[in-house]
Amino acid sequence: MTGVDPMAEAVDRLLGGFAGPNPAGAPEPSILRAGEWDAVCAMGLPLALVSEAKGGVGLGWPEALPLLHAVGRHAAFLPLGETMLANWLLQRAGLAPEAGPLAVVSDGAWSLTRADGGWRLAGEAPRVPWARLATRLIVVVEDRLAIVDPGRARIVPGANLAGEPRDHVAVDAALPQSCVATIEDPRPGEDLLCLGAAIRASAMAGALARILALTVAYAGDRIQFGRPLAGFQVIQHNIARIAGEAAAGGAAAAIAAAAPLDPILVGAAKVRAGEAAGIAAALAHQVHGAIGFTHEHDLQRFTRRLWAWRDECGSEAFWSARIGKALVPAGREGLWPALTAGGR
Amino acid sequence: MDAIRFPPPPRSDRAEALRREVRAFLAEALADMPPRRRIESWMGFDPAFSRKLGERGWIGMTWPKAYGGEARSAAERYVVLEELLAVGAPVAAHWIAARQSGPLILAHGSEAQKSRLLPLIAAGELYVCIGMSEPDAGSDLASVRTRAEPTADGYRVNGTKLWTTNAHRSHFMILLCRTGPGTGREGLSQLLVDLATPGIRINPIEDMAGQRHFNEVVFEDVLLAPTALIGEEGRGWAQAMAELSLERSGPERFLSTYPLLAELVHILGGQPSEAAAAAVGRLAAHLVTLRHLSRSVAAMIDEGEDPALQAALVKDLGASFEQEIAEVARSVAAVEPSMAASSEFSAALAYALLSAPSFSLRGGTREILRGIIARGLGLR
Repeated sequence: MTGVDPMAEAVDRLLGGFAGPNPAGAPEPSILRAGEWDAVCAMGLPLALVSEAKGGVGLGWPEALPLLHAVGRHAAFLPLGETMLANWLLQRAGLAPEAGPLAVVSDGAWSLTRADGGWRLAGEAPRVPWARLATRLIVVVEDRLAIVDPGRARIVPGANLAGEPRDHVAVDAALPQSCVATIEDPRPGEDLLCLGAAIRASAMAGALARILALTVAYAGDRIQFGRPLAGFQVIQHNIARIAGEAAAGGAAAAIAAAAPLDPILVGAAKVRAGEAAGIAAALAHQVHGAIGFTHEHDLQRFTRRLWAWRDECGSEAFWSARIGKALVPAGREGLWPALTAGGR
Repeated sequence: MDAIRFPPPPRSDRAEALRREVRAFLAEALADMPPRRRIESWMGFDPAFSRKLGERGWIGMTWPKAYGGEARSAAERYVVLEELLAVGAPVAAHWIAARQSGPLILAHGSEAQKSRLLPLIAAGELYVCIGMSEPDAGSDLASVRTRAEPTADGYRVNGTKLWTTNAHRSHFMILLCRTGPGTGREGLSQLLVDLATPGIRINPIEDMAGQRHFNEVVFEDVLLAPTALIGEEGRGWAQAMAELSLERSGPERFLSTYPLLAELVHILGGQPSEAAAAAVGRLAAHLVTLRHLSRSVAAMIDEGEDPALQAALVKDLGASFEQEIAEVARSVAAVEPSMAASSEFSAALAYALLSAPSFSLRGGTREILRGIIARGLGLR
């Protein structure tokens, strides 16, 4: 693969070294593996989007999102995208970045009110990514964010289909003035939804590429009826379809990365990547047969992530309807200009 | 890092400026064209329109100026093509010549062939058809039997070509035939045939939509000069394969039924139901993704790469998408399809349904493409 930037290759090598084959079929860990977060920090990744003046790498989302393909390609058990997002928010609120890992709480029902010279934060949110492993929770309430020590929250562990932490978070606490700030963003909720979807699309592109590679390799190795599976035309064609979906997923991620705050393009990317995930995962399992269905085989680490991620930050149904409602009123003559406008 | 490479398509301000110009031209030139004609897409045949495009310099625009081109970029050409397809412009007359015959002649043709044909193609005045398939050679193209026997004065051609789109309205054919010994891929050459040459019979074949694009073209002792040869004798297979990969990844591989999607949006109006909005939104998501992939391949071709695997992937996904638009449209709008209906949507839907099977046949069937993809993945 040429034309990939050196940083993406370095991240890919780093995460590839973490999460090799999983022969023992061990469950997903409940804590970050020792040293892995330190190595990620040593590369500066949690602060990728923080300006160099503030000790970060100074990337924009279009450069940072492609780095997250590696999270999907290696099924990395790390809140990398989430921590990047949290630090991006902290910067937009004029607060200092943190090495993390950090969790962003953008859903749920919250109230943030002034009290006793400080603030009172109360509320709860379901399925917060990585909350139990975070050193700080960044709770977004309308145009403000609050930094919460996890010790002051009630966190009930949960998980997505892939076993990644998705925890219930409840807080009822007084916060000092210094832990609350206004986010310089006209529509933080909308932007967080778009960025969450763009992060998922990027990771899905990596996981799609990986299940294609796994399936190509398996079809070459597995002998049935006296020849490799790859010798059967029907298998070749099924794998060709996986390749098409992986290509579409890669394109979707690129589209989202190029315009990560454009709800039409990010939504389109999430829809297409989600559809690719369903089709490609099903075909990859079909080619792998029973072994791919076992917990000890590597395939499920990627397919379960694809099935989890496609429904997070807006499913295909959610984004399709949103895009459609935005585009249909453009009418017969306006549709094409809307699809090709600006960066689209 | 094992993903199949699709580099990001370049952004071009010049191309975007051109887009506005093309849009304004098309809005005026096609103001009276109804949707039921627009859905014919790149099968719509209108020499007067082709000449207008030629006058604007929008045919063969990447070719050198010496041959009637404008030496414009691939990105600019792509913009013109997609804008034409998005409004269902009638481009069939010049389309094949501009897309593949011209580039083939530019790459392999003699100086005489280049200077005689290319300026006329670029002017939108000279149309070319492709003589590849035969009665016993469809997907199995290497089994063509049409033979051009070398004679003292050139070639004597005998055989039959089939499914030749627009042969009856073209001036020339690029004929893939046997000129030498050998079977299969050996001994094949491409010849430039003036369709007015004695001994050529063009018989119409009506398709199931009632349209007349297809033909059977019969060659009986057709005498051609030695200068009819394009490129090298015996290199016909390689030249034809390179030519085919040019026709696999363009915007016409996913926009053939776009005018139906536009018409669907029109009849849904400003307040679509949740289900209808979601159906349109999903198609839009597929469209922007395909467009990204297609533009990426165009950029690779422009860089001199040979993205055969990527082009096959785009065409496979694109054909399924074009076909699906018709199925989604009928699931969202409960309108019976009829070419004779007064409803433009109904007529466009009927045309799309009846032409859709061809999308995954023309230019390499879905099965051939998946075989190419499998080879690209190292499975065969």
